[in-house]
Amino acid sequence: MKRPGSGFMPFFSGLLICGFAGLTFLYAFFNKSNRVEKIWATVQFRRLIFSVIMLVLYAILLESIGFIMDSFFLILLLCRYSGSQQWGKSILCAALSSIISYLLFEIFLKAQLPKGVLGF
Amino acid sequence: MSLLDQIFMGFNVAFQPLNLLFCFIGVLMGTLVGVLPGLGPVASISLLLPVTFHMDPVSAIIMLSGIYYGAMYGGSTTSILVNIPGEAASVVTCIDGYKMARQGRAGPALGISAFGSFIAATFSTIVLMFMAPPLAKMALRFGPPEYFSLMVLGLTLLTYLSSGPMSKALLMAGVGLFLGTIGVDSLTGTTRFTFDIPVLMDGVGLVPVVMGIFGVGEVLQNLELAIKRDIHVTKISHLLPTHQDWIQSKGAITRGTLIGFFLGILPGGGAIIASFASYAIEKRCSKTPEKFGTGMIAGVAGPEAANNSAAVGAFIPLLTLGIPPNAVMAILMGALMIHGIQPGPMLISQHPNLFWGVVISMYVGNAMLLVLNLPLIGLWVRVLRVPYTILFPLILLFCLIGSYTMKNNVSDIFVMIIFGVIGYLMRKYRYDAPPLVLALVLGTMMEESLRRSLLISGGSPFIFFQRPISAVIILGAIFMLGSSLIPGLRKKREKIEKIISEGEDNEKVGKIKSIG
Repeated sequence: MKRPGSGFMPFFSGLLICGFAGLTFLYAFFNKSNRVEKIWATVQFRRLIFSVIMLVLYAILLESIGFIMDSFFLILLLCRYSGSQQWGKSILCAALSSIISYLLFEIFLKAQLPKGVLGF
Repeated sequence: MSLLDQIFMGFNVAFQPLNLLFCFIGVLMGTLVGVLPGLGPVASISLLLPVTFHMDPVSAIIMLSGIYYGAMYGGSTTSILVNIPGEAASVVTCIDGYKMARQGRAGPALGISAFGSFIAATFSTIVLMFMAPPLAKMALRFGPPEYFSLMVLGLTLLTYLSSGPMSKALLMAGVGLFLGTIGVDSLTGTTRFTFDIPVLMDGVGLVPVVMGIFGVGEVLQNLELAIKRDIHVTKISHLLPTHQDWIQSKGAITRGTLIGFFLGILPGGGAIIASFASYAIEKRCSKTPEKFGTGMIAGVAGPEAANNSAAVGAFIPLLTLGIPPNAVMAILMGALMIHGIQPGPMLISQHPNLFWGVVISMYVGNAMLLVLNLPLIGLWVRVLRVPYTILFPLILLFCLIGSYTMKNNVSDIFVMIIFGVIGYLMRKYRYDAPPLVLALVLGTMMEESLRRSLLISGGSPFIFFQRPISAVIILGAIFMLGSSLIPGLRKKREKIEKIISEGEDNEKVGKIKSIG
């Protein structure tokens, strides 16, 4: 306490986390209402997992295939498979959003988006 | 420089064509966000944060604050017309606003909420203008113990007002504090919890965390369900409130403005709680409290004035003390720091153009909102029909671009995706995100002031009780924690929680209207 070093705050916050996690556990344990919510019953896992995988693939491919292509495929596949839109609408939406966001961030705001092997 | 000179300078800054444009974009986006259920002000400010990285800091803050107070206006429109609160601060407006709309009085309800909001926001801006400079001067005398106590109070209040058991909210605050310690220790230079991963050396970034939790997490939660909802739109006529309407709501607007302003300043308070408090007070002040819930105009005017007033009031602690009172302000603080501006008592003297420019832009923005809102209501209602299946890929793309352009580093995208999944699980198990975000933002400052205080006192934690200002603040926080255990107060809190969660459920039904 006299000379708090760099481990002081992690220790202190760790104590807080342990304490309140314990309290939350006790609260749930002694809760007499016996009400168990089925929070996973109505979940469409396929759609959720597909979206998360798409995000991870986007991050992996971003620097190799470039921003425009990567974003186009992301929006296309999300609209088509997670959003159940028709192909035509999905392609239009993907093309418009990737080009507009490229213009906004790269040209107007001068952010440096990755170009990829294709050069755009 | 005299006050008049400073105000004049503010006008000069706010009326520059580019700043006027950004103010307009801000309030327009804010109204849009307010109208669209499922995108709250926190999510949208974090979504638009990357747009501001390459902008002038004054324009950036003008635009981001426009989004915040704009959202307060927009939220009321959908509450009144279709009984879907666009954001949480408009939940109470549904109660009487929607009833008025069903009775064919949608016009006056929308009118009074726009005028009430305008009056409240203008009043709060004027008070902000006069109160902030002396407060900042006073804050210069604050030492590390006072700062630490203030931050403890802020976190305590936020957890006190969050939904669900308080232990869960405090747990989230603990996690936020812990995340804040990752990276290089600012006092000794030691690295902590980095595991030799380069992206963790600078600490966990606020932008990827916020975008993950509020953007990706929200989208994932909306994606899991497939409910269709029809929107019945009421016909709107006579937007201008009648003389009788004004008489019935003038007291409500005045009280709402004052309550909102003070609750806005309080760390942890903010627009949501202000609107609830105002509704409760109007009901108590009314001669006919039984009529509340059947379409009383005071039940619309009061809360709407209160949430706008609170939105402006919340800028005071951020701009004078450097302490964000709620999650939106925490992100604004992050935005300031990205631009190399340290919010705090020195902000007004070091960056007067920023402070005065932003304050004056609030007048301009509020006037724009009044003009935008009333004639364009038809357009806003049409916006509600944009299918979520088209909206969500765009939200995700914005999150991806935002976390990448921060440092041009793909690793930040992975951090964002991880926090997206964490945010989704937090929503499922009902853990509140705002305490985590606030603790993450305050973490470094809090750690520094705690360690400095202990160094000053030679290790005695009583330093926080020996200095008068610090003692009052920290006792307030302890009282707050203690009062959550008192059964009577606890019941009251649970009652408010129930209303909020019912409102949010209502909101949820609206936002997932067109999936599947």
